[in-house]
Amino acid sequence: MPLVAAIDVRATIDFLRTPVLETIAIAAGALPIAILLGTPTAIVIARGGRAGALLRALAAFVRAIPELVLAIVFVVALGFGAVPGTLALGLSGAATIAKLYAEILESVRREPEEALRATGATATASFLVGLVPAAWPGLIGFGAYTFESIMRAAVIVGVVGAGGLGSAMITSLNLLDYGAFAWYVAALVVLVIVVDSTSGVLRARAPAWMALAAFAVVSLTGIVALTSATHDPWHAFATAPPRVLTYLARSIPPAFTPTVIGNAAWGVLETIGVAVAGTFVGALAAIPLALLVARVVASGWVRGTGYRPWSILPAFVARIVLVVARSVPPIAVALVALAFVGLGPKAGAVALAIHTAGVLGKLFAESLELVDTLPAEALVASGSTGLAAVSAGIAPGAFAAMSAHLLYRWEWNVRASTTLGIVGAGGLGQQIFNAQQLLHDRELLAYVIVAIALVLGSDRITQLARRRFELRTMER
Amino acid sequence: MLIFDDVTGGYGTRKVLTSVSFVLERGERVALVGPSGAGKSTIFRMSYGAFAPTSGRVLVDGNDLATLHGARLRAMRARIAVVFQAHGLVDQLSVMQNVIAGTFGRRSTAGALRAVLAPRAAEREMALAALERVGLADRIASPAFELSGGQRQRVAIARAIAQRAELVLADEPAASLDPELGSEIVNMLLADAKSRGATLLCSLHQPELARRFDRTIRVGGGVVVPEEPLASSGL
Repeated sequence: MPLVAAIDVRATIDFLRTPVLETIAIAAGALPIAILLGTPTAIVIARGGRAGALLRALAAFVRAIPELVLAIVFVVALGFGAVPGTLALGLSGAATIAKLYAEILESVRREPEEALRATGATATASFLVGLVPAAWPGLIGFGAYTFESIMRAAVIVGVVGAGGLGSAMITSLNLLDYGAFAWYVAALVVLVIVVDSTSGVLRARAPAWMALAAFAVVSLTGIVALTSATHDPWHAFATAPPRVLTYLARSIPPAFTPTVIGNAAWGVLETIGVAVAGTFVGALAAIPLALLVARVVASGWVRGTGYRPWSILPAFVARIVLVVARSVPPIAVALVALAFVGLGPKAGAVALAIHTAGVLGKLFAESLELVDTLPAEALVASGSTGLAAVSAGIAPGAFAAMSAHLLYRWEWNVRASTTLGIVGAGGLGQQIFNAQQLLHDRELLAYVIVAIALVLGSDRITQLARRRFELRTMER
Repeated sequence: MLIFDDVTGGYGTRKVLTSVSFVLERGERVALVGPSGAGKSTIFRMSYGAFAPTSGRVLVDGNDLATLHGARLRAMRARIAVVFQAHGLVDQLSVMQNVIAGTFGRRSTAGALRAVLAPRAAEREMALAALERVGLADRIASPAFELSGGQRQRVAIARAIAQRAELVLADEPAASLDPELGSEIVNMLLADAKSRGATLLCSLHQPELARRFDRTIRVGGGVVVPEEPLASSGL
């Protein structure tokens, strides 16, 4: 569909309706699965014991599987459509919820709950009255955060055939219909921004009833959207577990043939290269953007000029650049980048760099804003340039927080670069996608195992880096 | 050197100073006294051009600070050293780096960063000399966050010494220190100003410290209380 014709409102709504509805179905359907499966798991993990340890390990394992890889497995086992996407995101969301909620429950004081139990209250009542209120803000915050992540994944999960905007984007590109593609990207950005700002309100300080109401509305939307977007989803859900198990049984043992090992090794190298380039270039681009946006710089006092109305213009422009850069999922950016730099890891690196600049620009700016401004003010008072005052007076204080954000982004980028190959942007995802297309189930499983090992290995390395970094900051 | 000419102003809509006027001659060492909230800190912040008065003028060496911008404001600020009440040290940098930061007013951004990250021998010696003046030469390599309150105050003074400014503004340098240490700090500021012929404006709470200065300016409720001979001022 050409871009100009698409301005016909009715036609636009018509052709956007199905993919948008499917995307909403996937995201809204995945949330109740994530919460209802993840919360009891978190409670068991927080209680400790052997069952808790086992579930903790299981949740960590599921979290290590990139969402798109999980979606591929479900699509292969269950066929195309919204149901496999919903299940994949629900499962990975449940693993996230299990980990985050368990951490919150473990960090909350236990005495009120024990005091209630001592009065003879039931375990459930003691838990609900003694523990949950203290944990509530954290539970809401991380619940909203999880929904944001699910929505981001839902808009792109279709690139592996799980329906929604992702599928529509791939189809439009295959038909060389760039007008339609632009509309899909626009719809996707709007969806992400709407969900982010809504959850931002919830996170700020929503009363309990509002959070529960939001959860109910989202779940209901999921049910309605799923029933209208797919044929008999309940039957599909009910039969999913045995079909996934049958599929997995068919893929065992994974085919670690010499060819597969060679391809996988090359894929791993490419994936790491894409992640390194994307993280490095993205972080470099994030620094000037963060400086423009950070209040200490934007407000103008650090330049010695004080507030001037036109001082906020660069900050405003930079803020918009950051929002757009981080709202478009890297997969969508990669699809665009492919048209410019061709198939291969270069497109993946460009996509990750843009997304990373958007995310780190915001986080770096927040880190800068948390630092005490008096040292910089003292430097400005002695005639220092604004940039020198920020570099020597504020940046040292923000360095630790910025490093932590950088490590976190590195972990995220390894996961992302593992899957970028699915659209032809290089790395392990390419092999995963090829194996899926050729229905080589045992090879697919082998590549998926390598992908999981890569993610777990990279997480382990950053964990060590964090520990060492903390040691060093304590020594100083 | 520093002239407040009928200055009125404050933060936003909150008026702190009303028609404040006083003159500091070059080389004078003056104590600024008055209760908390009298407007002493506002006088300091206006004296280095952090913000402009709503009416009246603040002149440093004949230049109206409100008319200076960009490089010219920087050049003027390089001649004014400020010792902040809360020190304003960069915790993550070493004592030496903090002292070298006092010379930023004479450097470009790149030059400033180079001096902090890779100081030359002459810059190290300059920092060491400044630290010797405040008795902290042995802590030159320590990170700033390891220092006590009194030591931090001394590093802030060493930074001001390194700046070689013609006008030194010290905001409550003796507050939050024990009396003995506070007295020592004030003596350091006086000795530095005297040895270089610099002008010093120092706000204080303690009357007995104010007596060491050439004269006293009193503020109360945002106005300057008429100057009287020190002997009869009741200090």
